[in-house]
Amino acid sequence: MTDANRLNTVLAIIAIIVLVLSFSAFAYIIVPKGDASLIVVNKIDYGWDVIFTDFEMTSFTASEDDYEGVLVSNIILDTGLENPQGHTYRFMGLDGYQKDVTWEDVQNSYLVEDEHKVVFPNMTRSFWVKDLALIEVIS
Amino acid sequence: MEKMVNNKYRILAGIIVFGSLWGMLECILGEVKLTGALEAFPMGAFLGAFVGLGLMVLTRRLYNVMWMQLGMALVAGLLRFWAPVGTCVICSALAIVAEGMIFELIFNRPVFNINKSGGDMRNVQTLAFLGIIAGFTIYTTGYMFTQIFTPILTEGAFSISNFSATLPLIFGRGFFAAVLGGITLPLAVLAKQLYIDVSSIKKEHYYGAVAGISTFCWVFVFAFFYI
Repeated sequence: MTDANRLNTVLAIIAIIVLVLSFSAFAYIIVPKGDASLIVVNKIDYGWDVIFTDFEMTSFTASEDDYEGVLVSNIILDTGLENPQGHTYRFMGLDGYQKDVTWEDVQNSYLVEDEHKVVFPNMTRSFWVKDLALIEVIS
Repeated sequence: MEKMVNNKYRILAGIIVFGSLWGMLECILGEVKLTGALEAFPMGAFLGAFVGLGLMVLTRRLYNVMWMQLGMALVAGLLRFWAPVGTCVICSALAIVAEGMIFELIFNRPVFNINKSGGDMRNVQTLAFLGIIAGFTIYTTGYMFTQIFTPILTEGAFSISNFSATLPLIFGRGFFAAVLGGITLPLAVLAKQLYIDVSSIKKEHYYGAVAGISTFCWVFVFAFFYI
């Protein structure tokens, strides 16, 4: 086998592995990790419509934009969680994207209707999980 | 072999103009949200594996100068950082610089010298395979780089669980970057229509065009985000 053929074969094998693995990962992320009409907070289901009608809406500013949303801490406390400051909180989207934050961060976070996302005004947008499916309480 | 540009001022001007074009496209297209059937398509993969990789390969072909593309990435990152509107500005700026670094690490290897006449780097198939690997690597590394450094720079902390939870998303979106890279590399290396002999352009035309295009890019971004 010439050097040119060998290089071509090696590149072809690596390229195929890259395509197969990345497509598998893509297939995994497009399968929704929950029901788009619901959000599960501390193992309790809340309909998105309930969130925005039953909880008080608050106006706030984040990244120079004005928003209106529901304080996440109010929803978590509504689930009956005791000692909320003693836990970590995992926010996970329908695509599996997730971020872990502290209670201090949660106290300044909001659920907004646009894209059903969580907004942390004091944190970078990489923490703003959209199409939120789950807020899990981690010990 | 395509000519190497030796004049350092021409190279510096090339870094500024192509970096500005790249940065402008990142600023404008980076905020585009696709809907409907294209909702799952990540714009970052298009920007990394088509716009970024395409411009870096093209300039490597036109100037034949190593490390120039990292300079372009720094200019593009600076322009992106200068337009502080949109999703995670520091993430985008860091990702662009990381993309430039990965490009240099791959294409500075003699075996992947795209300016060598004849040989493997003139074969469409080889270029497509290399483009798939390069597109995927550039995009996913840039993405991972931001997931590591953004929390460190902004929050002063890094969470392994947050990072590892993002990996399926990064690799899944990388599929689009791989496919785009497989198209971009052969196109940018082989298309005769994309080649200009930079060193033969008259000095006044060259620097005039560079100044005009670069100014347009920065003013356009300023107007787009601030006015």
